[in-house]
Amino acid sequence: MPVPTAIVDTRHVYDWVFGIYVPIGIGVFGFFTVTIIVVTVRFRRRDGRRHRLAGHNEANRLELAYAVVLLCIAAVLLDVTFRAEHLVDTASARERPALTVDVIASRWEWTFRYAGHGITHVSGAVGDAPLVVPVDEPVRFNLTSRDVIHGFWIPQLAFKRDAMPGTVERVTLDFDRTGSFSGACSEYCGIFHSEMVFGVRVLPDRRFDRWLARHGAGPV
Amino acid sequence: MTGAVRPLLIWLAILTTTGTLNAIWTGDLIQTATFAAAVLAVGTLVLFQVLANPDALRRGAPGARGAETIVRASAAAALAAIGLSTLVVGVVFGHFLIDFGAAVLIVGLTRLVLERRAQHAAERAAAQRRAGAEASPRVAGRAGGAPTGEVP
Amino acid sequence: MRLISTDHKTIGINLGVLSLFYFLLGGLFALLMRSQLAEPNNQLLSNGTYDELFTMHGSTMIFLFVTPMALALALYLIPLQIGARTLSAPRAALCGFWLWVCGGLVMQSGWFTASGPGQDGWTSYTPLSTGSYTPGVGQDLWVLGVLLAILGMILIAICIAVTVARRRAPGMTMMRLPVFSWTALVSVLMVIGAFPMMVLVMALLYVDRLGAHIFTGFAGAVDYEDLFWFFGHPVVYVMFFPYLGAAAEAIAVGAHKRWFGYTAFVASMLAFSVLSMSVWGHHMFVTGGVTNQYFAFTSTLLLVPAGIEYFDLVGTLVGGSIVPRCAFLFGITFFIQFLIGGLSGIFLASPVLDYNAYGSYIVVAHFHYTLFAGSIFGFFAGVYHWFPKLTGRLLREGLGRVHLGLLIVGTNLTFLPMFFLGSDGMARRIARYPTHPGWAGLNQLETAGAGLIALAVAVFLLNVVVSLRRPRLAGPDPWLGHTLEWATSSPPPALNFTEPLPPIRSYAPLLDLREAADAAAAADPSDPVPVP
Ligand code: HEM
Ligand SMILES: [Cu+2]
Repeated sequence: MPVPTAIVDTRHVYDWVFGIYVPIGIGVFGFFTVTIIVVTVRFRRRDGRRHRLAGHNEANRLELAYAVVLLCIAAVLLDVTFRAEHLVDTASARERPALTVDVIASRWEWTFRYAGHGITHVSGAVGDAPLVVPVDEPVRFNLTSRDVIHGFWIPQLAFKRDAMPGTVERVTLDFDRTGSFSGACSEYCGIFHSEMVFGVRVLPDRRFDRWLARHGAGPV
Repeated sequence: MTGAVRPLLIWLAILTTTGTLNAIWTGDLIQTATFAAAVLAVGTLVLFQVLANPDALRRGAPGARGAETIVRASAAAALAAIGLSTLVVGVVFGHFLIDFGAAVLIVGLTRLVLERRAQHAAERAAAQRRAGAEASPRVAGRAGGAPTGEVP
Repeated sequence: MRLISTDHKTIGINLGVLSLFYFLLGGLFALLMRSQLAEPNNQLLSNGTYDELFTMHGSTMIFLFVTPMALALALYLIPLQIGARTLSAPRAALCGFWLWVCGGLVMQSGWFTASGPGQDGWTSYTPLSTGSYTPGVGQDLWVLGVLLAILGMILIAICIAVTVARRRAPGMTMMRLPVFSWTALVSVLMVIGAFPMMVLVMALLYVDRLGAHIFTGFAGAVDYEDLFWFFGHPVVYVMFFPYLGAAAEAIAVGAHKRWFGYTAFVASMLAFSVLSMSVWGHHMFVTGGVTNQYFAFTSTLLLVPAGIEYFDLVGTLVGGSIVPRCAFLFGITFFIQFLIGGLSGIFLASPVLDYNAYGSYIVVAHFHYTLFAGSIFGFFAGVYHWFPKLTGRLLREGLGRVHLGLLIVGTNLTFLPMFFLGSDGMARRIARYPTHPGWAGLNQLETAGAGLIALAVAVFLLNVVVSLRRPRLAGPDPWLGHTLEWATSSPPPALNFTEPLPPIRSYAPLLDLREAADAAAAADPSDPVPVP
């Protein structure tokens, strides 16, 4: 998968990093599992000898070389991670949003306020009016909480950010495909935490504009 | 106990390094303070070891052991713990438990001090006896209600 | 008398047996949770009950089982391994033990209050855990119980560290400390460095709950997390290193070869333990309140010392004369299973990946692969290895293999599907989940797996009962052990050693003797190598 560059699509960044980490991880797991099992079987006691006089108990040069190899692997992973993190956290913040939505978390609902359009949707334990966004346009979210910590998680985008009381977090996200997805609260927030879910509807541009016009009180 | 604190010093040195890196990279005061607290805690332990025996800094194997006091039991230590816990629970459930817990704690701590005093007295006496003749293993008398003994 | 004894073996056994009881209690809570999660939208348990269960499950496992059990192993074994007769400052250890006992009782006593026990997770984040959102005595008791238990464990740790410093036998340099003793020593250093912070945090949280409003606003919430995880991450390594040491001893003895790469191992343990005190912010990637890059950096570096342990494992096996008894098998299973936990940890150390995984079942899978599939297998390796030393009796090998087999299948059935559920968007700490394609089946697998784990634990308990009721005597050294605890009777006498200690020239003094005897025999072909 190519390095994502243009507009920052968190799912693509995630898939890119995932595609590097997970195969390495599975490879390492497979390597050690096979090695451990093979070596154990190979060196099972057969000849009745209590123990061989092993020549080597240490191989510090080799360990050092191995540690350097491990450091190189760590360096590669960190390079990928830092580049990805830059895209998701820094580059995305520089994009000019086409739309801004205030997301206010409270026990146990999500309030999506389309400031300037007079639209307020509430999802969660008591409502199910979804978050509606346009496709392929950067959307700015101003994230906050009225009470405890909540987590604004959209698995489809492989992204979440805590909604914390006393601050407004700004995140810019890009929805790359139309459709209906689900979102959830990812930070335990009390007894109805499991019901603090919300829907995400991603509309094509034209339909999104129509939706805004139909539901909004117009620009204020 | 030779060499005992050398690895601890290495440990502290690495922790100071990661802590310093944290301070430079993040500039976060709370995080720097937490690193400092950890260095301080383990550093205090190291310091006490070195004060108790400067040999702890030297390289090499521990030599032959001196006499050693055997503490077999201590009701006082348990009592102190139970007293403190009762006191703490009393903070939730009311004054009676606070007072009661504090009383038990004081009794426990007092007895701890007595136990330790008796132990030191027994150790001194044993040292004097040893100065006279080479002693064989023996169990000394009861100290503050707790049986203690001593072997060379 | 047993309860006020200051003998390290007695305190160690008391602490270990009580911890094991808490393992069963925490396991019971887990089974109840898994029953609730067996079906979508299940109505078996109320939300409130589920919240109490996951809180008390996690808290019981961490504060009352895995951590104190690690200290119990250290208390029992370290003096024996370093050739000491007694602990230094034994009254501190006893006092610590009792503080921990009281702390556990206080924490669990919340079950008998009207408001229920702790219910904010083992992390008890503010502002959720402040008086405004979780009033009630149960949470107070949780906070104070944790405080007392932690205080007790600090005392025990200090006592162990001082014992290593002062009570080593003549000849026992620090670079001849057995492998287990090293892993336990770095753990107690972490306890001493990090646990006092938790005492402070719990005290502050309690005062906050009284109405003082210490952790308020954004800064308050982030500060709580910062201080909590400064303790909370090191504690997971305290729950790991001693079990790594136990598995390593069991493997080395089973392979009839000393643990490979001792110098590198000790160096990596020092680096590993310090590094793991510098990574706590990776629990806060999604808060926007920490410098993610620093913590991604330190966390990813953990793969270096961890990789060294695996290198040394393979080095130990190569050229060995392996007799795969239960202790050995649990040991290598520990290494293989933990690998999944460790590698998924490197995955989570990447902020972008954590942005999806945090707070989801991916994390639940990760930490159960480290704590359950890791520490618990290492713990059982230690049990099969040292049970004969503690009791003088051998555990049954056949039942042990059944135990191992069931545990492997059960563990993976329970925890592997969690990775997929988490990737598919299932959040953790939810009392019920909606009907969602695939979720019901995976959750049912997990619940079935939990049942198998329970069965495995039952087989283990049966093994203990059978082995004690119809004893097979172990003798002082049933496995041809390497370290000094095998140079005394089983169980060891009051002052540990009656015979003079063998000369200590390496970290495996008993193996030195045997190798010297073998070398002499090899030089003289008329005297064949004895077969046990
Ligand atoms: C007997 C097998 C076990 C099963 C079936 C099991 C299952 C579970 C489940 C279902 C959860 C709730 C996940 C959630 O809703 O977030 C959980 C949480 C947890 N488990 Fe286990 N578990 C087991 C053993 C252990 C062990 C041995 C430990 C060792 C330390 C452990 C530590 C934890 C912790 C720390 C939590 C998090 C609690 C929290 O969110 O506050 N578990 N476990
Ligand atoms: Cu929430």
